[in-house]
Amino acid sequence: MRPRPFLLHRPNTLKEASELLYSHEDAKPLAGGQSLIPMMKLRIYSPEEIVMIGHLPEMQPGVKQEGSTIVINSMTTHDMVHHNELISEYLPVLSEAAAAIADQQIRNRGTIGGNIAHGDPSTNLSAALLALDAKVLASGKDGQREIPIDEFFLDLFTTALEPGEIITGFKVDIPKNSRQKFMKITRSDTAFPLAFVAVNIQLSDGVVKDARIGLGVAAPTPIRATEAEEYLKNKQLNQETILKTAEMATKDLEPPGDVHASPEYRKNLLNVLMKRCLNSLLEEVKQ
Amino acid sequence: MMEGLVKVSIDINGKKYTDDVEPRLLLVDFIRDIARLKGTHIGCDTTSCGACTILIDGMSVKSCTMFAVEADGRKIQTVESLATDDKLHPLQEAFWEHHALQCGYCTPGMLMSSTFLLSRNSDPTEEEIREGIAGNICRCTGYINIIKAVKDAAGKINAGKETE
Ligand SMILES: Cc1cc2nc3c(=O)[nH]c(=O)nc-3n(C[C@H](O)[C@H](O)[C@H](O)COP(=O)(O)OP(=O)(O)OC[C@H]3O[C@@H](n4cnc5c(N)ncnc54)[C@H](O)[C@@H]3O)c2cc1C
Ligand code: FES
Ligand code: FES
Repeated sequence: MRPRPFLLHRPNTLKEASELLYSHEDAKPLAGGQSLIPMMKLRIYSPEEIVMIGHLPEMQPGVKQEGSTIVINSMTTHDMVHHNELISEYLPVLSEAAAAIADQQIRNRGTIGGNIAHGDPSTNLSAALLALDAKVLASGKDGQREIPIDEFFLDLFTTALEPGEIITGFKVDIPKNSRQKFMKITRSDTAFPLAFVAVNIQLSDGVVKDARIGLGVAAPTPIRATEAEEYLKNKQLNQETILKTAEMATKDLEPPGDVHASPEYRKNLLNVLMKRCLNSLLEEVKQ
Repeated sequence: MMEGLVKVSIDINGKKYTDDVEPRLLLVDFIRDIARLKGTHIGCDTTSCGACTILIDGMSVKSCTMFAVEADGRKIQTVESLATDDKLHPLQEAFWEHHALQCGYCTPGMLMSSTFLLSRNSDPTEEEIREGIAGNICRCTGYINIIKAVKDAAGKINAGKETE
């Protein structure tokens, strides 16, 4: 299978890349290519021009701590996110979400920036970054801006990125007293997950002080379970509150359906995953 | 802007291959049709089966899901790099001994994924081997003998290191 022919650009600076993307409406940046190339090969999507960004100095992979914030560069691969020490220590839900993406080869190539820019509700890292209240760092022809992750996903494959804007990285404030968990249900590793859940709760003496829950393949975009988050606040984590949270997180969902899972079935999976995540956190706290 | 053909130069198994290619040329086609190394297979052509797995700068990737232009100036290892002269690589020997292949179509990819795994983890558990080859599909063997072979090869490579 061959993609349609396209024009290739290899700009020298990030600004040049943004300007190219801005002035050529049908141009797309290429990061790890693990979503874009399969779509181009199937001819589901055929951009006329491709702008390479991975070679640019500003786009080199890396993770660093700045005070109480973790900064993750856009081209950091899923494999690097999975194994990075800062992320494993402070943002384990992100590390677990990256480890659960497809297989080793895809994790060696796919990037966190591409995963989020794709705007697909079945990308693991979107649920994790929603749970972590991340900020998306975007660079356009007129400069830099930070987009709260809550405002980033607009519709299926549609994000808040303006024409010409490129994701350069992500910022996450290190959550305090936080317990985090990512869980998925899938047919096989390489297949896209049927459903997944990312949880980040702040606990004090067994009481939930704050909660953020990201849901995957639950709607046309990655979403948070805001009603369930509100409910959990100031509650003791126990069997009763876990059941209720799972119900509140999923009762109004209208997830997509496909050959592998009907909307009803998917809703049920999300409910089960929600319970499993919170139960496993409850076990952790008890130890 | 690059219209038409783009010059690409890739080091494959220590030898440099240079050609003018279309930007849409897939890396696997560069390896098979330009470098004429036919060990790297195309199975699914949809990023699912792993038959096209190679190492680029030491990392395993599916060469059906990269453009050749992305590998410009970089170092690639394919299955042809494993054996030296007439001597099989310990992984290849172990695959032979344990009947870890039947039709052999998946084998180059299995070997390259296993090579990557052992480069990171010289003594993997069965679980870690399963995880390491999760991106490689085999329609014949049922995987059990492949797992045995990788475990055995790891042991032999480690024993070899100790006696050195
Ligand atoms: C078989 C298979 C199974 C998979 N399973 C999973 C899974 O279980 N979970 C999961 O999360 N993902 C899965 N993926 C997708 C994988 O994680 C991709 O790596 C990821 O979604 C896209 O990242 P990329 O770097 O490869 O981006 P690319 O494919 O290069 O780009 C994706 C999109 O984002 C745009 N883009 C890329 N980088 C930027 C940037 N910096 N700024 C602006 N726009 C940008 C591109 O133009 C394109 O539209 C799977 C992929 C395959 C092939
Ligand atoms: S041919 Fe590349 S993954 Fe199957
Ligand atoms: S030996 Fe036939 S596909 Fe693996």
